[in-house]
Amino acid sequence: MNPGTTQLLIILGYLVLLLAIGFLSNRLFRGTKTDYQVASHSIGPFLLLMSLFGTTMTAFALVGSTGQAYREGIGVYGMLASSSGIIHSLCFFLIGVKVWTFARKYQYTTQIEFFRDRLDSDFIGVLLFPVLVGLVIPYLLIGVISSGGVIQAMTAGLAPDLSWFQSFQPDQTINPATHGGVPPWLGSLLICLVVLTYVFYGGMRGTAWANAFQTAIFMILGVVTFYVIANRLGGKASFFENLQHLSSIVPESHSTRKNMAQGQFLMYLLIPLSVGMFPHVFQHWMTAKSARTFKAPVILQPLFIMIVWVPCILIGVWTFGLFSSPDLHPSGPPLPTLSSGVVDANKILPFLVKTQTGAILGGFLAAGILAAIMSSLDSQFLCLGTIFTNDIVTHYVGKDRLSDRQQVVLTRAFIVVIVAVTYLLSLGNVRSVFAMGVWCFSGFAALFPLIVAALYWRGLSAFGAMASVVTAIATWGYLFYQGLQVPMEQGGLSAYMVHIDINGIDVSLKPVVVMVFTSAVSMILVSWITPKPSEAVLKKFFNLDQPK
Amino acid sequence: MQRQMSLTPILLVSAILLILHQDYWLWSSSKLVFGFLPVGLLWHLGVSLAAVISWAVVTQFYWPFDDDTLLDCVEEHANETAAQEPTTDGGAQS
Repeated sequence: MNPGTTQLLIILGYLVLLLAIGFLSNRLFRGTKTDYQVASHSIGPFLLLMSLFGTTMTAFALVGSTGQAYREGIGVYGMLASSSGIIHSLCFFLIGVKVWTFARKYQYTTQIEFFRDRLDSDFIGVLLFPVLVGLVIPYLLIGVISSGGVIQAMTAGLAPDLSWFQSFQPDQTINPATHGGVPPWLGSLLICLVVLTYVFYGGMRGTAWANAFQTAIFMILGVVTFYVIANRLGGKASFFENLQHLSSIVPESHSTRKNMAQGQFLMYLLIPLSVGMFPHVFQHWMTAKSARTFKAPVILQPLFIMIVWVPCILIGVWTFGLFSSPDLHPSGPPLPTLSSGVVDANKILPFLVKTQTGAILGGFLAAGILAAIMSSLDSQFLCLGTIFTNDIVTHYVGKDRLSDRQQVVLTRAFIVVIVAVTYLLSLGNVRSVFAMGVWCFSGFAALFPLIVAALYWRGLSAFGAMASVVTAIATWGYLFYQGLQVPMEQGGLSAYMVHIDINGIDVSLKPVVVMVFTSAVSMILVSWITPKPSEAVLKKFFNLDQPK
Repeated sequence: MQRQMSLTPILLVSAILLILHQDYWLWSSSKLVFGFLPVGLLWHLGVSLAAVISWAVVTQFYWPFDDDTLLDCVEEHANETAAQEPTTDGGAQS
């Protein structure tokens, strides 16, 4: 049997299991739009916790965190994980539960329905629609592209004689890390088709079930991976000795944050604010059975993030320690590199799984990584299908002219189109999916002031909201263009900083800081000078404790 | 639906957690706790656990949402809507 065959069979078995979950959940489908899009608001605390966590953790949580820790050291945990633990819960509490109460009372399924009603403006929907869709697409691309890469790396050696499966380096020598593996275009296509099928048939209930299952899989397998890789890399008698040995060889650059700018650490706090405006997270909030259902995600999100991230961070810094000194290199092939010769940090985890574990465990761990990827993809596909249907077609054609059945058919049709478009885009030459991810999060974070104001500030006007959206996206576009000018050798998009001269002192800011600040300021200023919302609107959204 | 919601405890907890998050005093310390856990990483593990405990306390004692009243409101609104415009319905069983 060729290398990679076992892994491929396990991955295929896992995908079949997911399809079964999708078909099983379809048996509970009640046939209504509300059931298809928000599972008839029937999701309890456990499923909400698991599906929200699975949705917010992308490939970045497993693959990207290991790679970033390899590059920057332990500080990555504080910069991206413990901060998310605080801010995600805060968003679920202060934004999630509150919009859920409005949505249950006034029958919203999407953010745009809420904003249209809250601001008494149809145009805010027209403005938000392309912005939200445009920001979700790169997020989807991260998952689709990563899944193809993971499957290729994990099945390397499967069919080295087939021309489609061959993989070469720029100098035309064989790339040992990927040669003979399922080509990325085929792996990505397979993942897209599986996710499409269970979302198509299962709707939100299928998505929530699949998310919960996949979240459990990637959390359990993440811990198992950590245990196995630590024992293999350490080579000592006991697990604890291996932990001590591996950590002792990590250089100070990676066991401290000496090379990390303190200002950057602070500014990264703004990135997790994006969760407050993710349309797919919003739709998951809408599935909750009751307000109390939110307590589990609010409390346990930081713990779950910790369970997934800490092992990945340690593996990343250990790998740096082992491979930065020739005396400590473990046996086996060298780390995968980019065409420039630099280590391809995003392939470190799949590489370790492939080289340090057996074929069977490797196959399961590959399934775990794919689970993390797919648990975000499904919600995003469903969400885009829902907002196309509700905010464009149904809104303009009229609810009374479309039956529930027709709206479900429309949602499904849009999902098929979105999956097809995303897949085709993934075949293009994307410079860095992880840099795209951070930029996509920054865009959503720039819209964060809008949702906070809509919920807590009576003075927010429709024009103020529009100014906020326009400013956010204009600033995002301008800064993204500037980021594209940074050569890859200098870090590319990820490394771009905005430099401001204050009394001769050069202040460097992450683009997200500028985006959030300008979006908030324009919203406040324009709201001050434009007509305030009507009394009826204010009464509807700020006097909830007095039922009519 | 919502009791008079005081944001003070929630914002106070968040502020304390965010201050604890900025642990500049451990920036350059390479100490390994238990022989394997860099102290800077251990601190942030502690921040994550502190967040879990804090949110548990806040949701227990400062939960501003009352499901029973909310469901009454939902039902009342649904009745009003139903009285104003009858909804279309159809099956979409696949």
